[in-house]
Amino acid sequence: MSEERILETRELSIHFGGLKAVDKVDMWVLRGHVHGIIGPNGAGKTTLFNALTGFLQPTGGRIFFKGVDITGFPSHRAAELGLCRSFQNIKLFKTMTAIENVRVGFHYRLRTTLLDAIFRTRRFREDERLTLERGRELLETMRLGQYADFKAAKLPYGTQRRLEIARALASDPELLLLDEPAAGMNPAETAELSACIRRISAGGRTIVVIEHDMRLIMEICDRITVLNQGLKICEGDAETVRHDPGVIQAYLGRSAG
Amino acid sequence: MISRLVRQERTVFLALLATALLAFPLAFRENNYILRIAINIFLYAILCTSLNMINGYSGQFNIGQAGFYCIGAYTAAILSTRHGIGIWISLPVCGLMASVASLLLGIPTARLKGIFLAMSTLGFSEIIRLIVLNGGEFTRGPMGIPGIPPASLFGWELGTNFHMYYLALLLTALTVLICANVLDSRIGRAWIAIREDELAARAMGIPTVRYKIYNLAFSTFWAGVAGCYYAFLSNFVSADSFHLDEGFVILGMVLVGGLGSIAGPLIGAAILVIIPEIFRFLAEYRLILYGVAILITMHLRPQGICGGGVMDTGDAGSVRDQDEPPDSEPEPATGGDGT
Amino acid sequence: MSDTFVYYAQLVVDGLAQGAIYALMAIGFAVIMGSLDLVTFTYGEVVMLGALAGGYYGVAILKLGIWLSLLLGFAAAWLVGMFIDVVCYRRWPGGPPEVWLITTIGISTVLKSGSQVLFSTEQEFVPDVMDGMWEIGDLRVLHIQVLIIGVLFFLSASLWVFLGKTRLGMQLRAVSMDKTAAALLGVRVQRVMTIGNAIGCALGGVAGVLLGAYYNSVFAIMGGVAGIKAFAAAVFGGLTSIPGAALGGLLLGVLENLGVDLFSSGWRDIIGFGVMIIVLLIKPSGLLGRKGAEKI
Repeated sequence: MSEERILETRELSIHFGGLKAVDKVDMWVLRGHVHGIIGPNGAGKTTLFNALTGFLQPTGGRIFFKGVDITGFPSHRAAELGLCRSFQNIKLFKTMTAIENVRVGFHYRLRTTLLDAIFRTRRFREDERLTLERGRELLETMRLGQYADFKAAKLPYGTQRRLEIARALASDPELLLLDEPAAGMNPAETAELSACIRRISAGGRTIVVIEHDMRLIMEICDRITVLNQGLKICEGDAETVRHDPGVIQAYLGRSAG
Repeated sequence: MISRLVRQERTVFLALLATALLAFPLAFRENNYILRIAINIFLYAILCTSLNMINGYSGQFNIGQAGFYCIGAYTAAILSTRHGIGIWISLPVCGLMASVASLLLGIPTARLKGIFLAMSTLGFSEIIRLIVLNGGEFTRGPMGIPGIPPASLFGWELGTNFHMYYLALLLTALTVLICANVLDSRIGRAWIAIREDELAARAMGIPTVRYKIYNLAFSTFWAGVAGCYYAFLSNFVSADSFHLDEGFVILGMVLVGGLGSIAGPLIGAAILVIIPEIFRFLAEYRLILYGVAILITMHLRPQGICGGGVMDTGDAGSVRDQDEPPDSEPEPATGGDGT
Repeated sequence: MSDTFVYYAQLVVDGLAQGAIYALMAIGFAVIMGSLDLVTFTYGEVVMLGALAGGYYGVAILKLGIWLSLLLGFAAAWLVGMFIDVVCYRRWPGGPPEVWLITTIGISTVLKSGSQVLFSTEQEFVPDVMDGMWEIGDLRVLHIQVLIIGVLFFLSASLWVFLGKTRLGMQLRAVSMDKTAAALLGVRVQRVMTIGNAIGCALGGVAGVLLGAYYNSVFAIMGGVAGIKAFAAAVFGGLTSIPGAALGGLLLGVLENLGVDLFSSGWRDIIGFGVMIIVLLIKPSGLLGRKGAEKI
């Protein structure tokens, strides 16, 4: 496995007024890894994600993607750069079918213009065929084949989460960011998700995943970053993190209730 | 297999409908009253389709459609009476004028939502009307512009309602076809995605602000076209025809027919044009009727007669999107962090 | 030189009187919009109905005098507010805001056209309620202008006391801050919303009577412009802030009057709308209070 740092943050800070949601975090993700981000509630994980995908402007520090400084880029450019994310609170296009959701994910890769669409040119037809064929493949990858023509809102919860991942994959990202993909899933669904993530990883994509399900994290992650109250408190493989006194302290201190 | 059957049925249905619409005026060639009603339906169908592209598909809330309609009508009136430009060139030019005007509204307001956007569109519509009303020589102010020559085709005058019927049918078909084509492409999907969830759309690589502006410009083009047709139909334009009420009428038709579907605005236009004609004694109450129709629709069937599920309120806001602040991290439903 | 000064001072005085009416409308609007998070579109029609009841029936027909007429406008608009609440809001508590926008557009069409049919499509004359004036140097201040400003002060102060000192007023503020929390504290949110809406409407009704008395006319289609003016003024103050709305109204009145001087009277409403759009554009987030134009 290469040692290239596909994503790196240097002293990344995001402050909301006096609240230091993320404070001077240095972290990096190696290409090809499944990288976990964990931490108690309010640790700043989702805020970090939002900054990494352009939804929030960092108040300080830099973000590098494939060695290029991308700090402060607009969120709609993320997909183009090769970053795509899922959301913690499922954000599917509810009235669209599963396949249509995935087709939207292809957006920036297509070249259809208004005139192409009106006159149904060859470019339009090729784009449509591509999105349909590749979209169905992606649904199959995520074991969603039989749901292709169902409205997204009507799908079971765990299935919606997998559909979000399929949609994100449609933009062919080098780096896939998953925000609590297993939240609300039962053990069987989580196992299926775990298998899906491994398959995606085996396909050569780098994955960063925020998760509260420790079993899943320990099972799939090559490296893990632990955040607590906006600070990075630990980074390393599952074994290191598991035995780090600071991490244990952070979790015990918070989840005593 | 099933989908092919459905598609065949749809083709048959559309063919029958087309035949009926083409044959219809032959039966009423001399009946100007009936023809006028049909023409009105088509005219509103274009305006409604145009509005539906905005409110129904990209989820912006425009209630100032009358303003763009007005721009189309006055452009046609000025071009034809002063520069002798005929309908065929006017149609696209009027559409483009409306589109350009929409940029003046759309670019600055692309980030506004809900009532703020609605009020901006409304204010914009009124501004256009007031500018026309106070435009001095250029728009002839409250006197309006009379004497617009009838439409013609290769020197053939299309002065009768019989001819204008076919022109309206052609324009409606063109509008619906083009809109449907655009909707069924990456552009249309991007618009719907924005309506459904703007943040997610952006995460998928859609430049949402640009696409909203794009949507407004594309859609208002058709309102401009409708305005042009209207000018040549009535041979006279006046600012009075483009009150905010006109915008509400169009909105009412779209809502009753159903936001976010191709057929909805057409059906809405047909119903709300025909009902006041059937109940002639209601003529005075036409606008009340539209208001009541909107209220009844919202109470009984918020998605409209054949809506695309856009206004499906379900039980007290169950579909309402729950946007969370950037760093809210609710308790994981799975529990057991297992330290 | 001094003539010029007097000329412009006069414009400002007239603008302030007119602005005071806008301010009252905007305050009512802010009470509805801000404290209840309602999206309303029918406010202009409420103002119009207030003007009809108080200005036309009160002053012109029944000759009740200005004070009773103001009261009549207040009461009529209150009732209309209750009616709107039942038809437009109650069915969808917390529903998608578009629904309220649509239902209120529906009701506003009904109210406006209904008034045209039942009342009149013409401008109806409202006689002067007071015709004196004071002269300060060359500056003229009409008694009615003082009355308008006085009513504005009185009602703002009453509202201030109501919101700050009474139980219901405090409940209203609680609901405005956080409905869920208010409900947990035992506030009957639905009822408080109904009352808040009614109060806002009633203030609009009074503003309507003043409009009718000041311009000596009432007409069924005056609501559209009135609604936009109220919105424009309230936008200055962030839609939810009551002092902001008052300030916005006064400012709008003065701006309009100066603008009319610059162009012509036909441009009066254009100026109002233009100001509104410009404010919306320049500082949507800063001026718009909590919700609304979310800049993501």
